[in-house]
Amino acid sequence: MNGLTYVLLTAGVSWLLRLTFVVLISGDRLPARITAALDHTAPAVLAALISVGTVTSIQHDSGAVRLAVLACLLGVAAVARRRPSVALSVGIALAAVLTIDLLLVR
Amino acid sequence: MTTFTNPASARPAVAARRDGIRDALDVAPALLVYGVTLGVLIGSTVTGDGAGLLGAPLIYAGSAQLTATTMFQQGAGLVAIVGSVVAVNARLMVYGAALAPRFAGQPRWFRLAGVHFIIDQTYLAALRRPDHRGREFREYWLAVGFAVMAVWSAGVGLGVLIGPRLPDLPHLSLAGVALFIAMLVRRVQDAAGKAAAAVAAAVGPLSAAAMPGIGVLAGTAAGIVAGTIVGKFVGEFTGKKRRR
Repeated sequence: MNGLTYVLLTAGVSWLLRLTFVVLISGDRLPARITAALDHTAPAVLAALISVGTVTSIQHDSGAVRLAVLACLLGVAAVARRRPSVALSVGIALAAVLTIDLLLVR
Repeated sequence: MTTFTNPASARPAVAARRDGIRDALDVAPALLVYGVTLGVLIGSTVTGDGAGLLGAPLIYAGSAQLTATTMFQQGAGLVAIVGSVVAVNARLMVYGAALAPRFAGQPRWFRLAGVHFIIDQTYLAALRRPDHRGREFREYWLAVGFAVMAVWSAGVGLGVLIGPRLPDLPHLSLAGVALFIAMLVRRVQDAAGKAAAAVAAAVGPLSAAAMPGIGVLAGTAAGIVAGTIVGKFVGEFTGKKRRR
């Protein structure tokens, strides 16, 4: 299997997953209970992405770096609560990443 | 032959397209950084820059592409790669189910091609625009989908190009986490949403530790269950209070 084959394979599998409840099994015919439960998808998936992403990112770090990363993310959350701007949140995170990786980790 | 377009019927479509571009621009800075991060990571693997660049618009799912690239580099077999991609991308099925009412009644070409644009950012953006239905949704979805895909592909391409020249930044992926934090804060308003987020955040890493690749899916599933239970409980409680 070469690089192109794995890309096409991954693309095909991803497309089929996206298609499942839109074309193959019509999602608008799902029971009301399931449709209501889907309202909680957004906070659930975002929280899972955040926690898994954070843990993966700091698992090989020292205690000081872990603390710095967690402080940075708490800071991002605090700022986002007061001023919900995606660009601002990412800007803060980028500044923190440069500080942590160029000053703390080295 | 001259074709006349009714300006009144074209107006909502134009507005919907504008909403799509606006929503794409909203997530563009963070997505660009996330794309560059993925590009840098892919550029450092043996899969080849061409496959990495092509994968950005074709796979159009960063975590799945990263998972597949890593496993391919580690020499994993076909079944293992497909299984991991399914686990990482299973949430796209949930998004599809949630968006299904808006895809219902659309032309077949749109239902087959439009689903390709389902990713975290476009799904969450569409949730903020519940009024877009029918043709308006189609215009909105194509605008946000193509714009986000352009930003994403540019980011990955840039990452592949500049990766070798960058200093080592092992925590660059935190920019993506910050993007998700900003999106989450807007959505956690009621008790059910808070419960869904708290449980998902706890279950995700625990599941990932037990079985890498399923963390996000398991956390999401647990969060949905928790949100549903708390929502039902709160609903019953407020209903009883009203009856008294």
